[in-house]
Amino acid sequence: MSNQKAPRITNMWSKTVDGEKGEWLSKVILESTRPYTYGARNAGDRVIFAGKGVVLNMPEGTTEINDGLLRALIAKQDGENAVSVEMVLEHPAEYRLTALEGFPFRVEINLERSFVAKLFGGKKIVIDPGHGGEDAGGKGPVSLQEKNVVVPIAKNLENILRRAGADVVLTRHGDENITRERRLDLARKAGADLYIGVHNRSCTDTNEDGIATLYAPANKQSAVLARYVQEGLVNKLKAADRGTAEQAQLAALSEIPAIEAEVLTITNLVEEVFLRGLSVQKKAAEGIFNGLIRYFARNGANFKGDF
Amino acid sequence: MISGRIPIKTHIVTDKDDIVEVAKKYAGEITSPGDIIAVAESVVAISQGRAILPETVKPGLLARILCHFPGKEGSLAAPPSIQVAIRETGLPRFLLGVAAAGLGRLVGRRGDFYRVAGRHLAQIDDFAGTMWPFDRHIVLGPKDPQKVVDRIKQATGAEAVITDVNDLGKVDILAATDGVAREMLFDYLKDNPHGNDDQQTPIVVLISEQNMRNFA
Repeated sequence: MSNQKAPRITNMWSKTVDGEKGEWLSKVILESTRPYTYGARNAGDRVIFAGKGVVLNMPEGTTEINDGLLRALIAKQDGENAVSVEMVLEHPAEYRLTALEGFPFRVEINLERSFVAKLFGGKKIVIDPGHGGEDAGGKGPVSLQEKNVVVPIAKNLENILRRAGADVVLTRHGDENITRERRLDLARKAGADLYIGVHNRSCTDTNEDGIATLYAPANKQSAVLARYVQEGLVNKLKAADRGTAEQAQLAALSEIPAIEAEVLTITNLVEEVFLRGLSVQKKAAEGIFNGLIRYFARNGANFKGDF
Repeated sequence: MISGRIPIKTHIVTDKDDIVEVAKKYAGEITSPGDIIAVAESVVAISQGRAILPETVKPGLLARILCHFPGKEGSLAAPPSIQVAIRETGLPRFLLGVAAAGLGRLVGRRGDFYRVAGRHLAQIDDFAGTMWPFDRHIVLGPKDPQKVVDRIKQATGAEAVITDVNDLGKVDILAATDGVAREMLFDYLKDNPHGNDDQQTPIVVLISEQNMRNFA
């Protein structure tokens, strides 16, 4: 005897992907036990998905996404047999719904990330993984060295920025000795729109943890950029916010907005372990990228700085 | 025979939750007798209050030395986690495990540490090894896993298992109710449908062939 059950939405997740036609997408996936009637509409800064004849079999409330386009998903049970999922957007986006038959049944909501890509088209960004060679930088209580962990974070950032259409220059790819003067000179010669140093915090107090972002004192836009990057990192890594501050060693770079993102505190035992994690390294890059999106979105894609 | 699986997103489970109630709340309306409710071991342990902040653990000399040795198996990487493992299994057995691991390495064999010191140590998740907000905790293995799965079966009517699955395709079944054919589970769990990082799907329901018609 069949005991057919009402459709239930059991899972909801999101990731950024390349579409079949090469487009860049934020993909939201809703999984359910059976098909149901659904639709979606734009409403201000969000796309609202509505399902009828379906029950929410997962918690109501907000799931943070923070992928640079999609800030959050808000799931609600609307009455007995209706469910809504609000997709809160940072920027305008076209959406497309697709049903995937199978078990579980899936509805995909594909959000176009072209607004984000437009911000980075034609931009030249210099990424500088700090230290290297004989200069190990900070050292974790166990054994992790700053010069090593900043490279994968920088390469993750390079990949995202290239996907967004930016022209990216890395000051180093391996364990090389490079003076600070040479790094800054490289940014100048490249005609960089931004200089992003990737570092970790180091503290004598090994209990202290968190993220900070430093900025070039002579460039007004650097402080703005630092604030956005700091916010992006803290949101993504959910670590203590140690604020922004001037970095005197960037003073020579007055003509380019320049920052040093201090991604987690390597001298803290817990954050040393975090920094070893590949997913944390990727999230750190995503956090910096989210800050860059907000910076360019605020200033307009063609903004060249206010010095 | 299993014919389908459903990962289920739950609220953030804490030590205020009874994992049996959580399983019933999220899987009770979906499962029928013959289906299997698979629960991630770390979430069972968290619900039992077995998540420890590393700041509350004072690592001894041995833990501080061992953390510098490369090639550690499992997730024991930092001194507080190693100290917790010593506490869980006792110093003599832990030292025997270290010695066995050293000898095993000489002959190119892996896994001797856990074979001697205890498989339960492999269930300890170092910090960063589990989901936010417990990513800053050391999470021990679950206590009395067989009792937990038996209670889930009693509450829901479905079979139940507690799983330890990682992203490398390793599947361990820590406990299962008597109606579960363990060897059938591997293919359905090896890609870690419990997810990681931001995906909170600590419960996965495996639907039996005869119950698939309920979802047609």
